[in-house]
Amino acid sequence: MISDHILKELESIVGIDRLLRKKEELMVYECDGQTFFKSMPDVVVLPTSRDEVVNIVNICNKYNIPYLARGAGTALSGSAVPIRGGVVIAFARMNSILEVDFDNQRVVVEPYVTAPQITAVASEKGFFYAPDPASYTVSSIGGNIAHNAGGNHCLKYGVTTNHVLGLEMVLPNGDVLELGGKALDPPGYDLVGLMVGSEGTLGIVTKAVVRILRKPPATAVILAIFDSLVDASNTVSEVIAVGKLPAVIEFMDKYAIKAVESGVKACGLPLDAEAILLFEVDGFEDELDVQSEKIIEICKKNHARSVEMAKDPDGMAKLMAGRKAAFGSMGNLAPSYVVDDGTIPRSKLPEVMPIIRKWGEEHGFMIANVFHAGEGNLHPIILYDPRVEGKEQEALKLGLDILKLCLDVGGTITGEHGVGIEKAELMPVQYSKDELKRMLFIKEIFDPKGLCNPGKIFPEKEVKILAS
Amino acid sequence: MAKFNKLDQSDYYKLILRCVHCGFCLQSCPTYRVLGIEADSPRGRLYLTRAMVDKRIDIAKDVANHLYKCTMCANCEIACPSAVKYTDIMFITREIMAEANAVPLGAEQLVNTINNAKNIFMMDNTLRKDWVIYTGVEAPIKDKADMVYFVGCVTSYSGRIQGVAQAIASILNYVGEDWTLLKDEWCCGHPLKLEGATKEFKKVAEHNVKMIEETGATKVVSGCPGCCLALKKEYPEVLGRKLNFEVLHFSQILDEYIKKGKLKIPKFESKVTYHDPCELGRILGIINEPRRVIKSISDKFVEPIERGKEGFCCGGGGLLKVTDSQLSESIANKRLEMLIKTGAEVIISACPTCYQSLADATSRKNKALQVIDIAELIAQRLGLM
Repeated sequence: MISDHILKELESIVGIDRLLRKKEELMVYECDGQTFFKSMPDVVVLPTSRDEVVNIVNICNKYNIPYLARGAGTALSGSAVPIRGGVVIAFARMNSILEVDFDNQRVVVEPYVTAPQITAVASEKGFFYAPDPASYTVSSIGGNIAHNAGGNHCLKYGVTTNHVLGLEMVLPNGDVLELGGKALDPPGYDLVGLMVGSEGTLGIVTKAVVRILRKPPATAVILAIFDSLVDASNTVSEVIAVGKLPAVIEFMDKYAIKAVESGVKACGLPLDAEAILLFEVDGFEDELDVQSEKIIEICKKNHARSVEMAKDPDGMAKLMAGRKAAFGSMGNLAPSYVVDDGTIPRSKLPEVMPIIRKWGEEHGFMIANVFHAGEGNLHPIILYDPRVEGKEQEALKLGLDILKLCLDVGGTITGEHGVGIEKAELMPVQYSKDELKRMLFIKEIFDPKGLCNPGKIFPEKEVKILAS
Repeated sequence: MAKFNKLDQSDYYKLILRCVHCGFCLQSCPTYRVLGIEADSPRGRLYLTRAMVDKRIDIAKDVANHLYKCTMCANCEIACPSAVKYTDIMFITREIMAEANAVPLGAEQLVNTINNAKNIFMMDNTLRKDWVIYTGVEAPIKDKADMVYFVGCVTSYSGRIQGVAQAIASILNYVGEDWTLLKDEWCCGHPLKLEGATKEFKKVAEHNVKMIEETGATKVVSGCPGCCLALKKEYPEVLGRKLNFEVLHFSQILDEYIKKGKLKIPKFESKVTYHDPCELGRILGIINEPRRVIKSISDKFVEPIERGKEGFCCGGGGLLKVTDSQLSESIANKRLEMLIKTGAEVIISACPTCYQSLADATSRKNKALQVIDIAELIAQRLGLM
């Protein structure tokens, strides 16, 4: 509970309209995109400027109140869940594009701007912002930075960290820190890189300088349909191995197809296929044909039932929109899901995909798979009904088992969704004690009081042992 | 638990459970885009609804304050990959809230007003046709006619919107339709349905349908998308029967007249844009007809962003004007900014509420910009007003 005089202090910063404290106002901030983890904040504030954020953080510091920054709440690991209550700093009102600098190919934004909003202003002169996680129409750049979000196009263009060049941050002691800027490759330690992916545990981003890229002159989409998970999986690494780098390789299995095709974003995918691969190639028109021919040849060699190429913008957009809607379409199959996002070496896909299917069948779960195959970034979506007692826990456990499998084959526990609460217990499996200790040193330097998004990334037990 | 459209409690709960909390709806929602408050987003409202059903929170006015801020524009349904029937859920939820006397004061008062006065303004309902006297247009009241012109409350009573009624009447006269006003038109009742007052809505529907059917008309035309929605979709649902007349928005009638060569309209030189009313475009699917009408008289038509099926609300939908007028104005300001960006000199609307919201926003912001209803524009070009 936060006492009335502290609430008054917060109110003096943001005013009564931007301070939420009633139960029904707070309850909706108790979880993020994955509803498994729930914990209500004591208060939510909606700042409109960096200075307001500084003042809010100072109050939290003064009274030792935990706090966290929240974007659109679309994260999938519980990273925006106020696990110890306290203050949620919701950024929805800081949504301005501050500068579009075409000469340097940079855009400066407030944290609640979305990727398509950046692309909209950049496209005026033929540029775009590359990172495009499935939630990109609604997720905030601040949240994308916190999770180092990837997306369909990260295979060719890289993940968020490759596109963020400067940050303005409010540190846990209330200081404002400017990191990086418009220029490339600043010397010394890469502090921008440290912040990107830190899940809001080292400070709060209030401004970001991002890179925009020239739009490719031409694009084509190839849809390959397979009757076997293994054939589709083999195709992925073979395409990469021949040196063809598509902008996108996305994988959808039969359950992911069923979810999309049952909803409003249906794009005509075959319901009887075991898996489909969606490739996007881009470049100069002539180059597309060369790239595509090779990809089509490899698909056929791996027994693709059919391979089609689309060049018309509407057809391509429909297919890609269907893919992007896959997570949100899961409501067509079940009321809840746990989604994990371990990464594995691409070459392990043929081994891992059938195991995931088998484990789902053994435990009585439908597991839909839709993921960034080019990077081996899996997204097994374990569907369950929360009304059935024990299912939620069982789904979560199965998810963690799949992540352990990813580690066993040389992968990681998360590609882009973050560790959050969900995967914290696997950090000691992924990392050695020495590695974890050094990470916790860094946390200690920035946030000695442990108030800034506490209870995330590192398991509580481990934190105590290492600290002692 | 209240029932609606034969949905029992478990069906209602199933509808709610379809939401997997992905948040894809957030940017489509006009109230969230302005406020940034989760409880005022579609995802937040569904979360609160589920919390009420799960008995985690009470069915109370504090919750209703968020649920009734929704403009019921249904844009979230277009964004939702899981096809959550958001407006169906909200209608049922509002019915439950109304039964529990847990609706915001403004909404409650509006229901009382309609019950007592048969219009939304607490005006004497016998003065409903006074616009005929004020505008001087010829508007018949016949026992029998082929077509009924259902005027609607806003168009009948709001001074500057009465020009829309004048325009529609004068065009119907110009083409020689056999048409009539109703002898005793009541509010269409759409606001009652929006409040959750189903019983009262049914009474109004019965009255208006009786009035229309007595005329023997096969067509009912209205310039108000809210009235069209009530007459076309909501009346058959609440009355449980098919009605003996077709319901058309006036933009559809204009489109038909132009196709058949009944109207030869001089070109309009100004640069124009069109704002899709949510109930007309997204909900009733009438998107192309008004555009064909406009393009038939304008070579300088420009589309705004967020249009058609994905049209952004004017802020006047739902009951927002009575539950939170300030928020309604902020949404209108936001929509106006998008329309201004088109560079158009004239904004065309096809809904009296959109007209009001955007005209008010224009006078707050940019007085040089003209807002006009599609019927008025055509009547003016024809020299009828």
